[in-house]
This record gives sequence, structure tokens and C-alpha cells, in this order.
Amino acid sequence: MNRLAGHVLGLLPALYLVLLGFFDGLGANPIEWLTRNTGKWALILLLASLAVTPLVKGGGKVGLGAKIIKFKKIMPWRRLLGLYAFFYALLHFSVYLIFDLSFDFSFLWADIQDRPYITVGFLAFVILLALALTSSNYSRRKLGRHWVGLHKSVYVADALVLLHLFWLIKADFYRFWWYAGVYIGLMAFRFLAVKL
Amino acid sequence: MFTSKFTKTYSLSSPLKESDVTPESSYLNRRSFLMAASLPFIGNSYSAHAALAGFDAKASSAKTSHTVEGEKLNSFEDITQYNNFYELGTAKTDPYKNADALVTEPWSVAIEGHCAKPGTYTLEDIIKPHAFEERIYRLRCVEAWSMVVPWLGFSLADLLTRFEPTSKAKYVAFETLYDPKNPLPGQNRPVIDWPYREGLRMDEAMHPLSFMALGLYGKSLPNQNGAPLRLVVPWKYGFKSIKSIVKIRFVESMPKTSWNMLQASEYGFYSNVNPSVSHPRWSQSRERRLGELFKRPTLMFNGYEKDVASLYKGMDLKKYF
Repeated sequence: MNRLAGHVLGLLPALYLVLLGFFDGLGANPIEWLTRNTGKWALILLLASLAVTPLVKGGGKVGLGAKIIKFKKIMPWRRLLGLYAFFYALLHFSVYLIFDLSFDFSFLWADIQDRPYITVGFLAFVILLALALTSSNYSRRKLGRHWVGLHKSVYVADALVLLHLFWLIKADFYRFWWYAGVYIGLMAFRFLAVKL
Repeated sequence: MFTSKFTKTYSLSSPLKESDVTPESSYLNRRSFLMAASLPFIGNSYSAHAALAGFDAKASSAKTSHTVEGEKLNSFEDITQYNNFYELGTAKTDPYKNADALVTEPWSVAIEGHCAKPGTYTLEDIIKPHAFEERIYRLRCVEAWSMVVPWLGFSLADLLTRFEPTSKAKYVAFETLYDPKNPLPGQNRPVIDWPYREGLRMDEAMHPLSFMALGLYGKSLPNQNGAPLRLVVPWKYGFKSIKSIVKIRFVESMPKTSWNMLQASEYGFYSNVNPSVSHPRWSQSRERRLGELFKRPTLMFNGYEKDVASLYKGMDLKKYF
């Protein structure tokens, strides 16, 4: 049941994108729209996955009507949300590679070299790819204590994603500060508040 | 979804006939006409100043003086629903959504600086002596998208000449509407240093391609496209084509311009479309024409090289970008 809720959370944005596409709701520049929105959902789900541990460790429980929901129950969401974040990052990268670059890898290499926001975005993508590939229980057993260290690099990936967004913005940073604020809050909670 | 809104209304009681909208037509297909004819039914994009200064008569007798061979016009919906006009919001769809916030009547333009006839001119004064032409131009945004737009208006040189600029007028500076007491929605946050400013060197401004647009697709400019009058400089990135002009000032030295003030390393004063001058966010070598999925190569000076290259003779275009 819990896992199902995690899947629903991860898939809803994709469903929304598909529905909009189906009803011609992507506007005059659908490729730009897809790029922007897949990127947005990758970031939101990364932040959501980052929120799971602090909630489980520090959040205790919350009253919801008559029922008490223990945040502990959302622990299985962490991997799911992380994988869905990668799923949107993969879509984001694919749209860019196919429609912006027409699969021309020399364009990709030039972009990675010339444009700092692409450099950090690509780095973040590589980290997320590594984490997705080592997300199985098998990998976890195989890697042992190294697994935890490796998967903590998601903190770096998230920071790179934020930098990617920051360098992309022309002038209006209003939304950016919301995302950055949530990230800083979650990291602060991790390193300062939760020493259990 | 949007399409239905535009295609269902064409057969209603529009006073426009195809012959009215497209004299010696370069509206390439019937679909364009249908969109133009359906314009009056599109709520906030139809503004009242069309009734001014014989606008309709001028619009209906406008001849197409420029076109872009072999290229399809972008649809009216693309042109009016995908806009950068930060005064009405920073998202592409904001200007269309917030278009009503821009009140274009009454409207006047202050003419200042080195000219024989400074003063405040009403929109009617501005329009009166000019016959309208239709010009189909490419528009290239620095964000690497582009479109093809049928503008309606008259050449900027014809307008500027009326105010008799003196020999001290080396540049011309423009400003967009800004009222700090009653700002447009986007002006509530200091995203850029309001008011929006742009400028041209005098010879650029007097170039026959520089255009004062008061309409598109045969009708008055929708608010989100910079009503009631805007500049169109087709060989420069879109942000040079300042919208909703309230001030024109003839000056001796290079005026400050908004994007240059914000980030001089990225947005030069000239901002000529140049595929070989890179940008930290968007490669300028290619662009996506709205309506196309893949990118196409960007042309030097946006395809107007043979017309305007002489303006920049001897200048290092990588330095003076």
C-alpha cells in the first residue's frame, strides 16, 4: 500500500505530461516545455527523496484525522522516489539529446565544455545514473559499507542540479530560491538536527 | 485545444474579407486568413486603439513590402501566446494571461533630446501621417527559438525623421511603460531595473529594415506583443525590439539598455544575431523555429546579412556583440 502511494507520486507527473501532450496543451514550443517540466519533476522528486530520511528519523508521527501515520512507513519511498527522479532526469536528458542536439554527440561534447550549466547538469546526471544502477538489493549487498558512501553522493547531485538551474535562469530567481531553500533546510536537518 | 478556439469562430460575423486583410497577399494560405479574421473574438488580445487614427483603414490598405521567401508564417496563437514581456510576467505564458493589466488607452509617447520637435505626442499624432505596410520578418530570440511574424506598421526612419533629429543625435533610446505607482504585474519584483530600456545607433535606427509595429496579422497589436506600438529590428535578438514604447530620446552617447545592464558579458549593446558568438546558456549556432521539433542553423544577422552587414563594417563582431 505504501509502496503503491510512492509509485503514484512518482508517476503522476508523467501522466500529466502525457495528458497535456495528448490534448495539445504543451504550448507553442512543446520541446522547451518538456525539457523544463521533466527537469522540474526530477528536481522535485530528488528533494522529496531527500526528505524521507529526516521525516522518518525526526518527524515521529503525525495526526491525520483519527489515524496516526508513522513516518517510518514511508522509508520504502526513498528508493522509489530516487528512481523516479532518475526517470525524469533521463527523460530530460533524452529530450535534450534528441531534439536539441539531434543525437549529434559533438554538439553534446561542445555544450559540456562551453556551458557551465550543462557541465554540472551532465555531472549530476552521471551521478544519478550510477545511483540508479546500484539501487538494487543485490548491489547493496555486494557493495556493503561502500554502498552508503556512494549513495550519499546524491547530496552532491542535488546541489549540482540546483546549480544547473541557477546558471540557466536569465533574471527571475523567485522559484529557484524556493527549491534551494528546501534543499538547504533538508541538508541542515540531516547534519544538525538528526543525530540519533 | 487552443486550435479549436481559433478555427471555430472564423465564420462568424467578421467584417473582414480576405481581400481586406491580404491585399496582394503574401498570407500564404487560407489558414492564416482565418486566424486574422477571428482576431476580434479573442478577448484580451483585441485592443481598443484599433479604432484610433483610422487604424482599420490603414490596415486594410497596407501592402506587403517585405517577406521571407519560402518560410511559413507562425500561427497567430504561437505569436500571441508564447512571449517574453517581463512587465507582464516572466513565464512564456504570463504575458497572454496578464494582457489585460496593460491599459493602452490613452497612450502618448514622449520625444526628447537632440531634435527640433521634442514633445509629447498622442498615439493618434504618431500614427496619423503614416501609411501602413505589412512586413513579414523572422524574429530570433536569444533563447534560441524563433518565429516568422507578419507585422503591420511603418518604418522607424519615417517616424524619427518627423522629429528632425540634430547632428548631435548619435543614438536613439527607447523606454517601455512603467508606472511605479501602478506597475504592471511583472514590475512588482525587481527582476530587471525598470523601466525596460533599449537603444540603437542612429544609423541602425534609420536603416530601412527598422520598423515601428502597431499590428500583426492585419490587426492592432495584442497587448502581450507590446501594444500599442513596439520596435522590430529583425537582424537583432528579440529583446532589442522594445515593446509598449512611451519614450523616444535622441542622445549623443550610447544609452544604457536593460539586458546589458543586467549582464553585460552576455548581452551586448548591439546584440546582432550571430551564430558564431556563443552564449553561456544557449548556443546561438542553431535555433528552434516554433512549430518545428528539431533545430535549424541560425543565419548571420538572422538572414538579413546582405542588408545590414555594411552597418558594422570594420567592427570586430566578437567584441562588439
